[in-house]
Amino acid sequence: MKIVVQENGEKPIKMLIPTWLFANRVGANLVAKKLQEQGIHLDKKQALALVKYLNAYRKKHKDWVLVDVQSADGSCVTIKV
Amino acid sequence: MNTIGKRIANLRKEKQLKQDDLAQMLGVSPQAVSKWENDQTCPDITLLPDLAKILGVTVDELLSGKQAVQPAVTLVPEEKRKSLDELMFRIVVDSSDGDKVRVNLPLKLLQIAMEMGVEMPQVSSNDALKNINWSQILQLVEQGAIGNLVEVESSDGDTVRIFVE
Repeated sequence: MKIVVQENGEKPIKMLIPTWLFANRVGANLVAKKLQEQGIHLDKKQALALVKYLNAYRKKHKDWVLVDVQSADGSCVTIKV
Repeated sequence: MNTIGKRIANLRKEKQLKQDDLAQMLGVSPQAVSKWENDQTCPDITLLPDLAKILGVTVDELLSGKQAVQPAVTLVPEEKRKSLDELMFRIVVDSSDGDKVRVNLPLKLLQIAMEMGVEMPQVSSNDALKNINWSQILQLVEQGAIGNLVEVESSDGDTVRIFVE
């Protein structure tokens, strides 16, 4: 996963985080727990299924931009999976 | 400020093209594309029609920054339909004060989440998204509808568009 943060006119900060660090069984469990706290019903099996699909998808689509946020002042945040 | 360079960069990213790809398609160097996007130079006038075509906008939209025309809803015949795996669900939020948010979700991921009972409004804090019936949108797509499926404009000028491509 690549996270790029750029403040208006500043040099972009690029963070490369290996996706496997969180897209795994432990990550899925954490996501399921966090979502359950917010009232969204998602058990560990379901979370793991989502993570597995996510992994398969990102392998097929290498340049998948998940989120791209640009503020009016020119700052931007891009998350590429 | 939304400059032509920023528009080129945004549209290129939306098309999931690298600077190298765009440069190769136009027969220019990647450095030239980088300079356009950083507003150090402007693309040559003779390149504009090709550039606009690649980026999926008209030359006027590229130069003026007017909002690009989104594809209308089209019903794809069954034999030409792509599988849900190949379709992307794009959520485009433009706030009245100039902030822009783009979220690209694989449709299959959305389908899996819906089948599991994850309700999208629960994971969205945006008021404009609260009353959208996600399962109906998914149903529409399964029946072959692609393009600009939802367009909501809030009273304070924020717009939310959802399209599938």
